[in-house]
Amino acid sequence: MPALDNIQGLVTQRYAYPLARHFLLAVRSVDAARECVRNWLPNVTRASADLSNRPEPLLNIGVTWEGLAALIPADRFAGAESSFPADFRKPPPQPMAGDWNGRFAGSAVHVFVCIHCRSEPGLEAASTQIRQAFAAGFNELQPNAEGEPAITARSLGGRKLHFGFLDGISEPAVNWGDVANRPDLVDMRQFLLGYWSETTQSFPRSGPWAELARDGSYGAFQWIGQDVARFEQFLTANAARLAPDLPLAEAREWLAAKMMGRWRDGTPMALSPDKPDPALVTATDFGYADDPTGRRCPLTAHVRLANPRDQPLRDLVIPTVPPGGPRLLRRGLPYGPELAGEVDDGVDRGLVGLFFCSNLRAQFFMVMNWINKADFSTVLDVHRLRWQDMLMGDRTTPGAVLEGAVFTAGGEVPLHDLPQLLHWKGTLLLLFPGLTGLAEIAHSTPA
Amino acid sequence: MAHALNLTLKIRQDATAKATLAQIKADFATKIQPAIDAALRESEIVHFARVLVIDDLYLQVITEYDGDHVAYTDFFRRKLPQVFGLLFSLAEQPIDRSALGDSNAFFEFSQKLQVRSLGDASDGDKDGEGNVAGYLFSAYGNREVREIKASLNG
Repeated sequence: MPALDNIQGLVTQRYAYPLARHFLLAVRSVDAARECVRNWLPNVTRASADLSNRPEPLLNIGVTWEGLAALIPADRFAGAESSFPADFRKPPPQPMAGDWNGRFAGSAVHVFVCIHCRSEPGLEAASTQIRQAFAAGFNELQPNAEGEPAITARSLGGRKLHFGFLDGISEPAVNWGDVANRPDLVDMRQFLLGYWSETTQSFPRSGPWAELARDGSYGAFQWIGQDVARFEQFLTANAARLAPDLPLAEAREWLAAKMMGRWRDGTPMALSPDKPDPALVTATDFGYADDPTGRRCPLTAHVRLANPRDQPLRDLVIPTVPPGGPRLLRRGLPYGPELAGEVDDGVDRGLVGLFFCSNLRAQFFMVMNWINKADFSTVLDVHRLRWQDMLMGDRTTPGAVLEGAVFTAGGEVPLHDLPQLLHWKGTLLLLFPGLTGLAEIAHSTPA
Repeated sequence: MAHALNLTLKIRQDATAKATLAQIKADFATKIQPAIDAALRESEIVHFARVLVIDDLYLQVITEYDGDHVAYTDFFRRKLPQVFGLLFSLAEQPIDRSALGDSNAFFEFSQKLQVRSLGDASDGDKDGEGNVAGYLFSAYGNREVREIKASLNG
């Protein structure tokens, strides 16, 4: 059974803090780098930490494959390549990989330190402390050429993100204690390493590398620009045609909700397709089995692709995903100022997100594939297998069809020329080791 | 566009492997082929498939398939563990039997046996290692099995 004090806190819980900063570090001196990590081990926030008095900063550490290779002596690192999965070892594909504002390659990043704070002074004080402490062993890679060099995310108020929707409503309830007979909870094996099972496989599977990874989790870190102006313009351009009986403002909100699958206040379209309902804003107890044509929630609405719930999967897909479908633990905050109106102000804004899972291929990349090609379910017929997530799809995917459809009172109406609304600035595939594993990395010496 | 699987293994030249190969040849049409056929049909992503033995020295599994490399590999690992266990037991460096239940080890092993065709994919298609795939001609562009079948039925 996993020990909560061995798991990094960010894996098990969404910190309700409004500020987060992410430091991307490259090893400069191996011995000094290990010492830096060793010195900061006591400061790593554990899943068992009591956060009721809102301490700051909350700090967590991830390591890339290149980071493991840099920190662990070569004679001890032998064998790691055949134990860690290719999906972690290989760089993510473009355009997801991004170019970090053209300033460095993702493979240059070795260690990822993120802090969550509740106040701006606290954030700046912690940043100064971290920079001073880690400078002995690391160079800080600076994705921002101007202003604060690290990636800083700031809440827009509550859990609101830039397209105006609320984040993190359908957080999986996880059986962290691995208690028997709890089918209502998601198996912790979908998120924690070191507990391989035939149906929920994670790697390393066994041996010393599995021990090092035990109670760790893979985290895909994504820095994603969002084109808010283009989204709002798309709503204006299409809303009146699709919902001519509604005032434009209401029609825009209705179309936004159709594209997301939830109203901007969180109400699921599956439960309330005609208007938001304050009683349902955090509702998670619903499915799509009784809506196979997308009459209430469109088949390619974002939430329906990212979490298909009870929607039937193709035979091909069923054996390749964990029981119940692939789930991710999302940790995200927006960056950049909110846009008022729908005129592009040229300011960079978007999302800083971490997506935790135990099998990048079967979970993270699987969901990303579904977002870019909705061919995983039997409800999408052959004429729609190249359709994409109406909101988040990468329109540059080869063969993608930029179409969608929503049901109106008059029947199903097509949506054409779905716009590219996201721009991937950078993606890192990280291992967030358990505390024991992190200590082992930090204390490793040649054999 | 479809991907090409050119899985090629060098057959171990010992008595056990030779006996297994003889048994595979004898049983293929009546026992192995129906199992493969059913799985291929169920997958709806494989355009063509065949198994070849060359001079009792090499065994090849050649297919053209749609979609994700790992999903493809893992589907057939789960659907045909006995078939792949049998075929892979012929290899000079056979797969550990326990790896047949392990998606990572099975994929890594199959990647080692993949022979890249000459030339480069003209559409930038990537192989299972993320490198540019070898040349593969298709008369159907990027149409997938389900789309082609729907066209034929339509």
